[in-house]
Amino acid sequence: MRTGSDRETQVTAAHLMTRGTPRRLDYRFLGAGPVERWWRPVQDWVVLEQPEVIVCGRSLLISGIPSVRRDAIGTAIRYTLVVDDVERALARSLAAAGLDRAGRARLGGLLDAGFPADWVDAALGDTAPSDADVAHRLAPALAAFGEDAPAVAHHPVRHRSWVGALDDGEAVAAFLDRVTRLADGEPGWAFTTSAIASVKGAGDAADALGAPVAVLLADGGPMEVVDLGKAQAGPPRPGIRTMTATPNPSRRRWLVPLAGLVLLVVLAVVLITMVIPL
Amino acid sequence: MTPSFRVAVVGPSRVGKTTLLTAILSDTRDLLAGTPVTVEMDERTSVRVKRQQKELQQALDRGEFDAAALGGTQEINQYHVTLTGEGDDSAEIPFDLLDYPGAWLDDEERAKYPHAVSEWPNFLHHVRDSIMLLVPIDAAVLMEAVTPAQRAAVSPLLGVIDVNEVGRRWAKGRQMHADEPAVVVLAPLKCEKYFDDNGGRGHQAGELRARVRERYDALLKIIAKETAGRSMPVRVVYAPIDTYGCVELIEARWKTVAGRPDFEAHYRFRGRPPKMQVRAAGTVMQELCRSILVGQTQVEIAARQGHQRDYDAGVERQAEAKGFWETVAYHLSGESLRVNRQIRDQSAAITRVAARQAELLAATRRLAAVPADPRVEVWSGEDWQ
Repeated sequence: MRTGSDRETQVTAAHLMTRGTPRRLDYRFLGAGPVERWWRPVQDWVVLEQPEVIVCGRSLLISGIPSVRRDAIGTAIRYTLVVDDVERALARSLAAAGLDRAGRARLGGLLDAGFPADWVDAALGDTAPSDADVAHRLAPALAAFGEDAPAVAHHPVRHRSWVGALDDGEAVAAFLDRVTRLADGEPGWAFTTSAIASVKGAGDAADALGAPVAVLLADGGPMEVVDLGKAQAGPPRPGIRTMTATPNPSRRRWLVPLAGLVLLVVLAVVLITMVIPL
Repeated sequence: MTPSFRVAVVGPSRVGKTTLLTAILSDTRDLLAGTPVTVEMDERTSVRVKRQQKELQQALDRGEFDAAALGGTQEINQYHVTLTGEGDDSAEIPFDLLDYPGAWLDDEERAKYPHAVSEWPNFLHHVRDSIMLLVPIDAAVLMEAVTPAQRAAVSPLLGVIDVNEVGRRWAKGRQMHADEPAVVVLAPLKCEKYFDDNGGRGHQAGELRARVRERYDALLKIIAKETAGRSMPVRVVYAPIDTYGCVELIEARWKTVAGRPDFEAHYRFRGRPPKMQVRAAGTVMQELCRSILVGQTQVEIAARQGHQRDYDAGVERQAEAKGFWETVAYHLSGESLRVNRQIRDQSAAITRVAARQAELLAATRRLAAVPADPRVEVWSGEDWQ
């Protein structure tokens, strides 16, 4: 869904998932939603009910954005924001907001202003909104963050894949640097995770994705950024299935019948040489 | 039998499925305390359980229970848990619990979620292969409905029709695997108010049982009909669960939301200081373990029989009378090498499987020895068949 923002160069598509007040209006994208769930490869490594930030190329997802709205039984409602084809400054600014409580609260407030409870209930109920309407309502929030931070890389980490802690300022700076470079076209992923809490788990995710990754652990992260590349290049970790170079028995299988054939020929020659003199 | 033992959790949105699963998993360690069987969770399951425990501990420290802090599920969540024999990693029982967003059970609602539509076949596959159908029930919705209009709203709020349909599919799957265990657990949640055995003063245990039986009678009839003639009958377990034990309903309010009746409940901690006292969740796990171990034992027996067949075939081939040329071919073609290796390998496999089987059978006896929670009942099928 294209936004109608006056900063057209920053975003070409944005989507918002939330739920309504009645029980039956569960979490769903307003309007059509993204054509492709590009975050699917990392979905098993994150918890989208929790605050997470996922970036792949020029696409960004922020989940766990708080709303002041409550559902029918009083439970707090959240937003998940997906922005595709995002410009580097906005990518960095939104990712930075998604990484801390105050930033998410500010983003949630802006979204609440654009998406009042009655409108959301109608949109998720029987009155599907037009793409233009959703875009129009999302534009002010995105524009507000587009005016925020300079997109300057200050904290490059040379590791191809690494893991750090969400409460480590250096790791957060390196993460935002990776987000910027991804938006510039570098391949790979940057994501926070509340699903795993160990360097090994992050290594498993990196192995599974098979691409450069920058991971921030919400719980139990390392004291400093850890290079996952070394672990990936080293001996296989327990539980990781690897290809091994053990000889293939099928290649040797023909040796035994061949030896048997040679022996048969020798036996035949011996028998013939024994019979001929008779 | 499937590679892992599966449990399908089927309930409407906002009933408390994730809290129930967390209570079951965290309570399992207590249940198995003092036995050589340990519970191992994969990292994601473990992190999720610890997070909920941490949040609950913070709420206990504050003395304020905030039901609103417990957000609903917006994606499919799978929990991987393994029961492992202490000191013997080869004796392990893996199982998967699938927590499915409740709204996706409804055909009309599901059609609005492209992701749910694409995932639906996988969910049904999981349901059909599950040995246990776990049905969480919001006890407050069931018990606080007083007027005819409120009573009429109970079934839609509990998603009874959707649960019945998934139950039918589960029963058909179980009928296709008639030699495997099949257990239905009807688990009323948030029922602290209605019992007097866990710090409360309620005397409505009988009324709760009667209402559950009434509302889920159709489900039980469907399952009985679909699984008629099974050699291993479907086991129906009624397990009213206190997922907290120290949280009590203080206000129930019926209201109209978007033209439909809805129900809002407010809870508070009870006791000074409030103390977690989970009830019956562990017993449900015990029931699950019992089924899993029955199934696992059957797998081990089948595996052992398979190894035995290969071993016997090898020995028979080795011993059978052969003519000269056949003997030459037997030895020179490499068949003798293969047969000897087969006999050796299968003999070792039989020994390994037998050791695991002994370990699991011992674990079964230990788990069976843990007394069941007095609240839990195994319902006879005679009433609805």
